[in-house]
Amino acid sequence: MATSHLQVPQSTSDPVGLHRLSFKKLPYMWVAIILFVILATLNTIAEPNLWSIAVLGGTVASAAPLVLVALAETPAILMGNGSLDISVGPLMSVVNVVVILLIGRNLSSPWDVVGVALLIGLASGLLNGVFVGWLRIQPIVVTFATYTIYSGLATHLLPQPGGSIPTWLSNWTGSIGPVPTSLIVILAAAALWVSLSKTRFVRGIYAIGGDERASYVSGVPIVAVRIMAFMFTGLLTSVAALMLTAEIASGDGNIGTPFTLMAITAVALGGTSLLGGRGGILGSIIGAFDVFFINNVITVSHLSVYWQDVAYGTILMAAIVINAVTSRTRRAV
Amino acid sequence: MNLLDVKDLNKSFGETQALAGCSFTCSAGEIHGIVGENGSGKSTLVKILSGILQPDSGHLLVRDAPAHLTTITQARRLGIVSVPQEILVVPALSVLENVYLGRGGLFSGPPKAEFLETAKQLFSELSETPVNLTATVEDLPLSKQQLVVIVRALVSEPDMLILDESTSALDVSDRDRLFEFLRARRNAGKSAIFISHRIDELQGLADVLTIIRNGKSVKTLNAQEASVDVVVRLMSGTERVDSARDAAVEPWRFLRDADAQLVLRAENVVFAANTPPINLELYKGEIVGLAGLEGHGQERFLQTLAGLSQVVSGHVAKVTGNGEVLIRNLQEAYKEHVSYVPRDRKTEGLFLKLPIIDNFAMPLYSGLIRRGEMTKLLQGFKEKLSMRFDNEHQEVRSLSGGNQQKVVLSRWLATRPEVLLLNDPTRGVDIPTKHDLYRLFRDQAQSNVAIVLLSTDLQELIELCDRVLVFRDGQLFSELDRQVLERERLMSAMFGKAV
Repeated sequence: MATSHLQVPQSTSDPVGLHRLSFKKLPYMWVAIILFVILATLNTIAEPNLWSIAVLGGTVASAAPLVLVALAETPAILMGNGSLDISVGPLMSVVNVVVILLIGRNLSSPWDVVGVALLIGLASGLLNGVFVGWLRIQPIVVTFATYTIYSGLATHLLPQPGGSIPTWLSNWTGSIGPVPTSLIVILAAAALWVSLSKTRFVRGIYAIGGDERASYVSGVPIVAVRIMAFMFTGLLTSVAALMLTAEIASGDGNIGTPFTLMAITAVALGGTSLLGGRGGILGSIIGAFDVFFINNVITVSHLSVYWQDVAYGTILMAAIVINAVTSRTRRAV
Repeated sequence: MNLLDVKDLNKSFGETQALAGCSFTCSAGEIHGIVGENGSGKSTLVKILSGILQPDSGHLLVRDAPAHLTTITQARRLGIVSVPQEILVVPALSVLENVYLGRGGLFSGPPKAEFLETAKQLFSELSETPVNLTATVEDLPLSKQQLVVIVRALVSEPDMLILDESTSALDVSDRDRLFEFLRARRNAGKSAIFISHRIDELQGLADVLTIIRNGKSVKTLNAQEASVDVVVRLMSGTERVDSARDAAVEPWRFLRDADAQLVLRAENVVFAANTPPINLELYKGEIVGLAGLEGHGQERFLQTLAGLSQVVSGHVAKVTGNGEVLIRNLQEAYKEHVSYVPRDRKTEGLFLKLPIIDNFAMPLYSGLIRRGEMTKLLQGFKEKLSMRFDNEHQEVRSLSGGNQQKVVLSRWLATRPEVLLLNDPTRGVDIPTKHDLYRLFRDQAQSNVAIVLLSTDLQELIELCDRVLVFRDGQLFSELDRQVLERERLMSAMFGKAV
């Protein structure tokens, strides 16, 4: 009874309340979805063939590294309190470079390449996770340190861009039947998260992001959850790096760096709160496509190079502000 | 068999000794009450018993075997579960997920059917109104959020349940249900430690009472035989009882005679659709109480007076020398010397990580900051309110709850309000501090400040108020004058019975 009395007057009384309630019913990633529809339309105008299987497959493949790394970034940000992983970009460079070097030394079987890449990701996540979870150092400090280390390491290992990749890897940009292979990789990564989403591990991520102290006094294993969340981030970042390697078909020690900011942007755009505890990977996936399409539209728009960045930043700012304002009123209910 | 033996526990944080020789015994099937002032070490004791902190010396015996509790899960395995003072929930998660929090293996799936059944069962036993397990916790009123935290502790069917001031936000009816539940558990041989500032409440529930002062267990008494006077004296040492007593003597009483000056007027205020408008005329020097079950509109009304929440129709106006000035938001209220003191000091009242002085002087800061003046002002309040702290540059969160509340109140008093809107100001505050605050409120009223006091403590409303407005279903249900203020009348009005 008490509940209904609290709720009913608010929903039926002031018009502002009604307004807020209607926002609450929307999914958390609604801004990203609307933006996606607009951008897809603009892209279709610019490229009428967009929806043919060949072009679409190529588009998804080009977007896939960003989509995957945004997916990877999500759990790190969900843990809240300023948690995030900025080392993902340079980690992609390291994986890309190491994979190219392995292939150069004739260790080019899928087992070797994928195995080593995933191990690097897991190890990096473990490193970040131990510092953040166990030693309780601010994530931005820890991952900035690893960001710097990986940047140096990647350019040291491969000072000059170059190298080549085997056919099985370049096939990742193609399609199996009508379905783009890159889409399968994205879906597989998403499926991994979804299959974990009912476990205590993933619920723990949301709980820590929502209220760390409540989680602690209830016995949520905070250290273990943090470490594993960063390992998950590392693992999927490796997959993103493999996808990137397939796309560019060579090695480059600086290739990953811009992905850090794009990934964080995509997650924020997708409606995941940087304060933690709210949001999810579906939003990040759509957010990543948004970021990709924005870049695309601007590139084909004949804007001068200088204005491209300004336009990019402005669109992002607008989307993120709408997201923040509406989610704030949503929470205020 | 003794379920729990606490022997000579000591614990210090730096220079502060939180526990200094704390001992007591709780046998199986006993409800053990613990009382003590804020800052007397109760919370530290609870943290040690639930495995969050380890004592510097002394030991614990659980079922006569020595125990070193190092984690919360370990304490839970031994059957000891505590409910903390604060309402610790994860706002964005569902009720069920909040209850299930911290359980199961790292990769185990969602809660099993039996768990769901147990949780459902507990909610239906403890809650007067049904609680939807799939509802998001942040959509529930505070009283039900507290229930969620209690159910979270009860689902593991602990032999020892520790409740640390954790019933203060519950609806009265839910609190009664909880007490009934605890009695039933006791008859089944399960124990509880119950920490409360309400001695009357403890007497009805606990078998024995242990009194803690300055980290030391002073005495254990039979709860039924202990008189309130004796307990208060043991709790505070003798010198503060006097001040509590003169607070009870000769209270200032407001008289609404021809000279009474109107200071705030709420006219035809409607804040919920389909409810009749509410009128209130508030006079200088008057203390008006607001009562009601949690979420029945009294809080919205108070916030409306403060300009914090919007009205559908009607208005709130401050009566000044040159006519009436509308109050539509917090800034306007503040400009007209109408000050609102929020309920949750942790999230709405304090800047926890800032020093006491900044917390105190924040609304006074303008232009260049004159530290010396502020410090002097704070010192004045420190003496008047018997606040306890070493220096004003300490972080405010290092203070005990009662002292924090005094900081919040003195902040708003320093702005020299003409109307003081208090949202449950003594919640979770110990008895001597309560008396300090009562004295303060009366002093303020005597110096012509008008006070609107929302309180969940009925005794407090009866002692302090000149009249009490009781809310029910989002409307003003009845108004009780000082002459007819009685516990039963208040209660029946809150539950919708006309008096």
